Amino acid sequence: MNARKNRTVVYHILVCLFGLVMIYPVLWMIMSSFKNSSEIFQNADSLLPTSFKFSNYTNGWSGFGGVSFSVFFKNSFLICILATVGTVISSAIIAYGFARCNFKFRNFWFGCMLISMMMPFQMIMIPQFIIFKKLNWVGTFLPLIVPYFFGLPFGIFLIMQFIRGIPKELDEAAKIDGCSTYGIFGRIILPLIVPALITTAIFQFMWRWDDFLAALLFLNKPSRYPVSLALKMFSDPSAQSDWGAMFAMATLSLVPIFIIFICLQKYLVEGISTTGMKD
Amino acid sequence: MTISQRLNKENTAGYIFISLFIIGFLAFTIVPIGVSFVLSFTDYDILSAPTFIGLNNFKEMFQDPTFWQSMGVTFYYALVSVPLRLIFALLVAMVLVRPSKASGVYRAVYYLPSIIGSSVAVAVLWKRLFASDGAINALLAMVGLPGDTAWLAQTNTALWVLIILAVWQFGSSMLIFLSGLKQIPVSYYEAATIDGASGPKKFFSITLPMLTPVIFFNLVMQLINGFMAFTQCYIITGGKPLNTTLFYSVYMYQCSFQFNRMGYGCAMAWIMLILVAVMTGILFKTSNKWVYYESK
Amino acid sequence: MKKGIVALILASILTLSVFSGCGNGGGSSAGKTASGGSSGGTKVIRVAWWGNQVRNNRTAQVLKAYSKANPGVTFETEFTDWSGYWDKMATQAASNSLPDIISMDYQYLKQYVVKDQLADLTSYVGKSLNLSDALDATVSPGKINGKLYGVSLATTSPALIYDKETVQKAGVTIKNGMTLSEFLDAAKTIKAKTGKGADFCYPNGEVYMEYLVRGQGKVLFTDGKLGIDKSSYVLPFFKLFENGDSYLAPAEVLEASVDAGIEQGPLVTGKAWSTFTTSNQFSAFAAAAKKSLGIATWPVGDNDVQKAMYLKPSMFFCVSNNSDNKEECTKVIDYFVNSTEANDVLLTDRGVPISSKVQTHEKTKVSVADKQLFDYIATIEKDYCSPVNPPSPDGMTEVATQVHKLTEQVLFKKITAQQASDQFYTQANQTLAKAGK
Repeated sequence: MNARKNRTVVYHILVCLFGLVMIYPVLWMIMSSFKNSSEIFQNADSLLPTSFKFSNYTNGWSGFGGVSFSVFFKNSFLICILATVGTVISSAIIAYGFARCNFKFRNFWFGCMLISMMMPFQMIMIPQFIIFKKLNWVGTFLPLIVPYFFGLPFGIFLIMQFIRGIPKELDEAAKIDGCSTYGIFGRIILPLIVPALITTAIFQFMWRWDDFLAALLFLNKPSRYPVSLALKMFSDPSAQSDWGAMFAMATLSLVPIFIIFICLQKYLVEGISTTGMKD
Repeated sequence: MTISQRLNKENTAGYIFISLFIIGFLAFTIVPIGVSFVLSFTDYDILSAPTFIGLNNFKEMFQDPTFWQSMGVTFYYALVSVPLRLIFALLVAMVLVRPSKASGVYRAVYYLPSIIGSSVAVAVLWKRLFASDGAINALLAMVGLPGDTAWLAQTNTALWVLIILAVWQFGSSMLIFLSGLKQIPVSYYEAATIDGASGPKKFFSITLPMLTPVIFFNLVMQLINGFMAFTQCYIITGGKPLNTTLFYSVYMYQCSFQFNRMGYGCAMAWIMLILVAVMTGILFKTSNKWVYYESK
Repeated sequence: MKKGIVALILASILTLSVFSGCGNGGGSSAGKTASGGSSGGTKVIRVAWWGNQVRNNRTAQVLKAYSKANPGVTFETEFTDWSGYWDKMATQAASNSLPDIISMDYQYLKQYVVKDQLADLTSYVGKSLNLSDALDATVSPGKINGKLYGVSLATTSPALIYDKETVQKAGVTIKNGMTLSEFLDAAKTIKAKTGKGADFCYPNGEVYMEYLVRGQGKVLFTDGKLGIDKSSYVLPFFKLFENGDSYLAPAEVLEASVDAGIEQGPLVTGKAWSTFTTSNQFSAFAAAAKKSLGIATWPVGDNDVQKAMYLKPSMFFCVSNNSDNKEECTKVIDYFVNSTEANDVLLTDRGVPISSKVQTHEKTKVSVADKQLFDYIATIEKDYCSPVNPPSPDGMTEVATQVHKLTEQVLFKKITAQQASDQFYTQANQTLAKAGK
C-alpha cells in the first residue's frame, strides 16, 4: 500500500506544479492591481509589488463620470443571470427535440443552427442593430438577454450530444409505463443531463460576462454599461491610462465567475456515475 | 399504432421542441445573415447606400495577396492549435477526473486561464513573457539554450506564441471532457476489471469509444472557433510581423470597419463560412463511422 | 448541405425587405425616440466621446454644470474607449441614429461630412457659437469646402519627445527646426555613446512621410490620388529605415511599439531615447516616464521649400445632421470653447485650448509639463508652421496600413527603400482612386 501512497503524493505534486504554471498570469494580474501604474510595466517581471497599494481599488471603483463600478457590476449580474437561465432552459428543450424526435427537415434546421455559428458577429452587427432599433430595444438590456431565450447553438449541440449518449431503452421503458414524449423529457432525460446543463451554464455566464461588443453597440447610457465594457475605458491610446485601476477592477471582475465555477463544478462531479444507471 | 401515425406524432413533438430555435432564428439571425450575403455583392462603405457590383469583391479577393496570406495563417493556426488543445485538454481531464479532496480546487486552477480569456491582462503578460528579455528567454538561458530570441518579432515564431496561448486556454474543452468522462457508467470499468483488462486496454476499449460523442462535439466546436479566431491576434500581435500572424477574421474586420469596405468584408465572411461549413459537413459525414452513441 | 443553400436563397429574399426598411423608416421615427426629442419643454442632448477615466469625469462634470446654468437642457452621455467608439459610430450612422454632439477625429471628419452625417455650423458662428478668440489656423481645419462642420476643442502639433538625460549624456543638443541630417548625426552619436536608438514614427509612418513631403511643397494625400508625380518624394522617408542600425532602436523594439500605448512604449520603458508623436500627449508621457523629457519639432528635410510643421485640431465636436436641437448643441460647444469655468475643469486633457483668452487664463493654473506644452505650441505658432493639409481623403486608413507594411518590409530588409517607394506610389494611388470613386 505504500507504493500507492507514494503515487498519490507524486500525483499531487505534479498537478500542483503544473497548476502553478497555469495560474501564474492570473497571480500576476492580481499582484499588478496592487502596484503603481508606472511600476506595472517597468517592474513587469517581478510578481510582488514594492509595496501593496489599495488606492487602485478605490480609484477604479469610483468609475467614470459619476457612475461607479457598483452600477456596472449590478448590470452585469442582471444581464448574465437572465441570459444564462434563458440559455439553459431553451437549449435543453431544443436539444431534446433534435436528439430524440425524428421530424421532417431535421437536418436542415440543424444545419441552419451550425451556420449561424459560423458568421462572425462583426459582420452581422449592423443589420442586427437595425432590427433592435425597429423593435425599440436599443438602449435597454433586451437585446443582450432576449435572443438567448431562443437557444444557444453551442448549448443545444452540447446537450444534444449528451442526450444521444443516454440509452434509448430508458425512453422505451418509460413509454411503456405510459409516459408521453414530454414526460420522458421532464422525468427521464432532464435529470440525466445535469452535467451538460451545468457546463452550458458556466460557459454562457462567462461569455456573457466577458462580452463587451454587444453591450457597446446596443446600450447607450453609461449607467447601463456592464463591467466588461467599463473595463475598456481605463485605457486610451492618446492619453495616460490608469493601468493600476484597470487591473484592480479586472481582478474584481474575475471573482464572480470564479465563485460561480467553484459552486457549480460540484454538480459536474456528481454527474451520472454517482446517481447511477441501473445497468 | 401505425407507422405513419407515429411519425406524425414525432413530427409534431419535434417541431414543438425546436420551435423556440426556429422563432429566434427567424427573428434575429436569418435576416442579418441574409443581409451580409447581399452586401457581399456590393460596394458598401457603411455611411452611404450600397451599390451593386456583382462578383467584383470575389474577383478582387483572389488577387489580394493579404487575403491569401491571412487565409494561410488561419489554416496553419487552426489545424495546429485545435488538435494540440484537444489532446492537452483530454489528458488533463483524465488526470483530474480522479476523485480526491483537492480535485475541485485543481479543476478551478486549471480552468482559471480560460476565465481571464481575452482580457488586456493576458495581452500584456503574453507580450512580456515572450519579449527578448522576458521570462521565457530567461528560462531557456537557465537550461543553457540560446535565450535571446525575439519571439514576437520573428516571422517564424510569432504565430507559435499565439498557438501556445490557445493551447494554454484549454479549459473549456477540458470541462466538456470531464463531464463526458463522468457520464461513462462505472459498471463498465468494473466489468472490465473483472475480465482482467489493463489500464491502456480500458482506455481504448471503454473510455475512448464512450467519449466519441464529446470528442466529436469538441472537434466541431474548436474547428469552427479556430477558423473564426479573432481576439488572440487582435489584442496581442495585430498581425505583426509582416502579416505572419494576421488572422483571416482580423483582416476581414480591418477591411469592414477600418478601410470602410463592408461589402468586401462580407464577401470574405462568406468565403470563410462556406469553407468552414464544408469542413464541418465532412466531419458530420464521417462521424457515422467513428462516433459511438449509446442510443443507436 | 443542399438544404443549406435553399436557406441562403431564402435569406437573401428576406434581406430585401430589411433594406427597403433601413433607408426610410430608420432615421425619422426611431431616431427621435432614441434621442428623446424635445418633449415637454426639456431638451435632451446626446453627447458621445471617447476617452479614459479623467476625460470622462471632466467632460461629464462640465456638461452637468451646463445643465445647471441652462435649466431645461439635460444630457445623455455616451462614452467608450477609442476603438469601440468608431465601431459604435459606424453602426449608429448606418441606422441614422447618431448622437447630437459627436466627438470627431481629424482623420474621420471628411468621411462623415461627405456622407452627409454632420450638420453645417457656418450659420451659427458669431451667434450661438463664438470663435473670435481662436486663431484661424485652429478653426479652418474644421471647414470643408468653406463650410464649418467641426469645432476643434484644442490644438496639437507634431512633436518629438525625447529623454533629456540620455541626450545630455551623449553631449548633443536636440532643438527646434533641426534638419534630418543634423538629427541623424545626433542620433548616431547618441546610439554610439549610450546604446539607445531612436524610435522613428514607426507605427504611424504615413504621418511623418506626409510631413516630409509637405516640406517639399506638396500635399501627399489628396482625393482620388497622390499629390506627387514621382516616387522620389517619399524615398527619404523609407531611407530612414534602410540600414538604420547606427541610429535606430532595434527592429524588435520598434515592432513592439506598435499599439503599445504610452506606458509600454519604448521611450517610457527606456528602450529608445525619442519618439515621434503629437504634442497633446506630452503630459501623459511626462507623467508615465517619471523622468525629465524634452519636446522639439520633428526634423525637416534638408532642402525644404516650405515650413513642414503645422498646428492641428486635436479633437472636434460636431453636430449630427439628425439632431433636433442643433442650435442648443452649438451653445454647448461654445461653452466648451470659451468658458473659463469649463476649461478650469477640462484643463489640457484634450490639448491646448483654442481660445487665446482661455489660454492666458489657464496658463497660470497648469502643471510644469503643461507649461512646457503651452510654450511649445506658442513657439510653433510663431516661427515654424504653415497651414495644415486638408483632412485625409477616403481610403486613408488603408493607405496608412500599406505604408506601415512597406516600412516593416524595409526594416526587416525584405525590400529596399527604393522598391518600397515605388510600390507605395502604385499601391497608394490605386487605393485612393478606388476609394475616391
